[in-house]
Amino acid sequence: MLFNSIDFAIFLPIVFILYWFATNNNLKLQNFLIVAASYLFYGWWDWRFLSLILFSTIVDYTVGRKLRIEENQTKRKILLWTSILVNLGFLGFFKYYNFFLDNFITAFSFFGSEIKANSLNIILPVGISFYTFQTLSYTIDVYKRKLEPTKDFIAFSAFVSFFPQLVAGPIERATNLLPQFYKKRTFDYSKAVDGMRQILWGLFKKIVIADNCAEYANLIFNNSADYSGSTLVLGALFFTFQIYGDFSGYSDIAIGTSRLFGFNLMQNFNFPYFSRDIAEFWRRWHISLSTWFRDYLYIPLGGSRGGTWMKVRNIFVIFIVSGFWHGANWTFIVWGALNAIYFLPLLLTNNNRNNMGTVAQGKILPSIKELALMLLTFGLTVFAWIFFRANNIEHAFSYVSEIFSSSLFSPIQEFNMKTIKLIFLIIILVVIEWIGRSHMHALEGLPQYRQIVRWMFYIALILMIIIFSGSRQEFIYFQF
Amino acid sequence: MKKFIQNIIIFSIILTIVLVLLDVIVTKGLRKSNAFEFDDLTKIYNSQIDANLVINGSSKALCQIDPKIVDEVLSVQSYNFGMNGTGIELQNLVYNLYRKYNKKPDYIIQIVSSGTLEKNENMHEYKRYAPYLNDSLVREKAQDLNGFEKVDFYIPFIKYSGFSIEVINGFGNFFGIKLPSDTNKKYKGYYAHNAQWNSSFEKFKVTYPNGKEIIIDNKLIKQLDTSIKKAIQEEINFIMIYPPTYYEAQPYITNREKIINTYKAIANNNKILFLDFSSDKITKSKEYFYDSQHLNKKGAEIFTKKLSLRIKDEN
Repeated sequence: MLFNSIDFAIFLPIVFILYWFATNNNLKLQNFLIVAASYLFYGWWDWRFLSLILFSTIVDYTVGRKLRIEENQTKRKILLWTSILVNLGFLGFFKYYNFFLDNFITAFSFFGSEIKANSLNIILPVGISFYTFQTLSYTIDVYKRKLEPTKDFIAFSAFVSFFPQLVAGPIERATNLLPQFYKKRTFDYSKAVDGMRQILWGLFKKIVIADNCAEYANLIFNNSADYSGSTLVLGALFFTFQIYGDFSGYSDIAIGTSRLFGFNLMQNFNFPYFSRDIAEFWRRWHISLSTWFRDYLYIPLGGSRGGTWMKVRNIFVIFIVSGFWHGANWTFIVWGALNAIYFLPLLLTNNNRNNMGTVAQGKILPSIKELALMLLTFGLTVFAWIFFRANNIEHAFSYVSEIFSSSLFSPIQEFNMKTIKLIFLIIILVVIEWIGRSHMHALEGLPQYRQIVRWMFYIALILMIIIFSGSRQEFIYFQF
Repeated sequence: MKKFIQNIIIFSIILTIVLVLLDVIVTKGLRKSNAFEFDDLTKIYNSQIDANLVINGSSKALCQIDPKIVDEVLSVQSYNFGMNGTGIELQNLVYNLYRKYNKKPDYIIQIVSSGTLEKNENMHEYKRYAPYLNDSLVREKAQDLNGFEKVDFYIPFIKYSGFSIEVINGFGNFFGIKLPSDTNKKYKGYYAHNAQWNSSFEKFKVTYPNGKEIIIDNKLIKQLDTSIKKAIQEEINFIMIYPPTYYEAQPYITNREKIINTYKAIANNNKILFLDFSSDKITKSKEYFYDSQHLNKKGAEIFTKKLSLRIKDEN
């Protein structure tokens, strides 16, 4: 079920009413309703893959229970690896089997050996990369004794399958989300209203920005050989806003929806395109994944401690693995490596924590220096997104080489009323996000205005969503 | 919770009022629109078409039959209802709307082609029908075909979702402001393509190296047959025309002969005139086409003259 579908528009109020009115605020009933609603939400897409979620849930719940009583370190490690192998096994099979097989065959043929193996026609279960990482965080934290394993199977099932963030995050930590399923939840008016605001902003980003940018970006990326360098630059720019609108829009809807049910999910995007360097960008982009890799991969590898070589190795490992998490394609690996290259100079010169606060805090506009730094960071990001979006690595290089040709200075093709409309919409996005940049989401600061102003703003936003909606596209991150 | 529900209800009521108002404004405005996709229906609904010869068809009518030439040769008042990407189902819809609000014609020229009877469940360019969704004929067809969603019929203004330029045009027209995007580029429904041969046929050959078989929908054969019978009953002269297609492209429709024979059979059964220009000498020259299926302005003018003279001779 897509957030931007009529199905969800019917589903959400029904679940909301049942949750607050039919459960009599009984915690167990509320949790059970969440599990049932989540399974329905996921099964709407493909019910067969519900078995995967259920299996992961049972495995991790059982492993957690056994870790609670097991004191023998070797046995504890076996239990931890059981969970890791099961979860990553599913992920590896569904997501990476064909990639490794194809590369294995290519590598052998390079050395003159021909081997025959057939690729499998595998459907990637939606959201597998998200819920797999979420359940893994539980087992690892229980193993490290940072979290008390749960006895409540329904609460644990609700944590694994919680529908607002099941298919595209934020990837919640068990330490944050799971305890919320144990506590009595009462309706909080301000929280619910703010949740509605965040949903509205998420829908604007998805339906108006991402879906419209997608039409243009798809046209240019899919026919890149026909376009001039200047047009390709515009295509990359539109993809940059598409992926932001798409993914951060989803996160906003997920977080807002959770707030309607009394839950607090972690912030997943913190205005990343206002970053002044790449390190800041990565503290602000897909925060739940970045911090997951930081805590469960980067720090166990030694983090930024140790010699220069260790630092370089760890940075490359975390960025390449992060790239590979996105999909079984060399384009994602190059995208990750490129970001590692951007990040490394900052780390090695101890400048990776220079920009920790909000840019131009308390001011209306940034300084010239801040603006220049933001534009430079944005430019580097746009360049990296070309590799992320390209169909394959050859396509990415041909796209880039055409940009750096004389055609960069030729007129932009496909520049028409639609393009102007899209630029106008992007400007609206940037202005609203700039105004709200010190908040958890762009509209969080709205309560300071009078009700009539707020309501007029909401109506204007709804009308913009209706009038400027692009042709409906799936959320990009569903494929990851 | 009470306050939350109360505010949701009040906000929904205000929003609904705004949507109803906008729906009325944009609908009324678009019913005056002369933009490319709206112009024909605007004229139909305002009973502005004074024609005794109407031309029905897809893009093969739209950009191939020039009413100016038809009028000159046959001394009639004609109008071209050709619409891109449509089969007989939508062509019939527009003709029926025409009849609902305008006088009966003496002649119907039905341009047929390989796509006329092809199974197609989409309401092509459905936005042109948005201002008329409350018309029973439009509503019925819109519910049958893919294009509008269920909510478009029940929630005001939602049917204009994504039609930003059209909404602006509708607004402009409602307040009497004619915007540049709302101008008519057609002459009596005809849109000339003053263009050279493009590469679409080359692309088609790559996509379908062994050609393409058109799946004929029996339901559509019946619809065409019914329209003919109805016209005969009303003493309207119904003429079917198969227009020229570039000769090299003809073998790429693998069941082309069968399709033409189907039209011949329908014409014979109903004793109406069927003029087949599919092998006309004009088909041999790229000079007259902008792609393998459509004549350019130069070709369209030659073809319209030839066609009009044949009709004159036959009558």
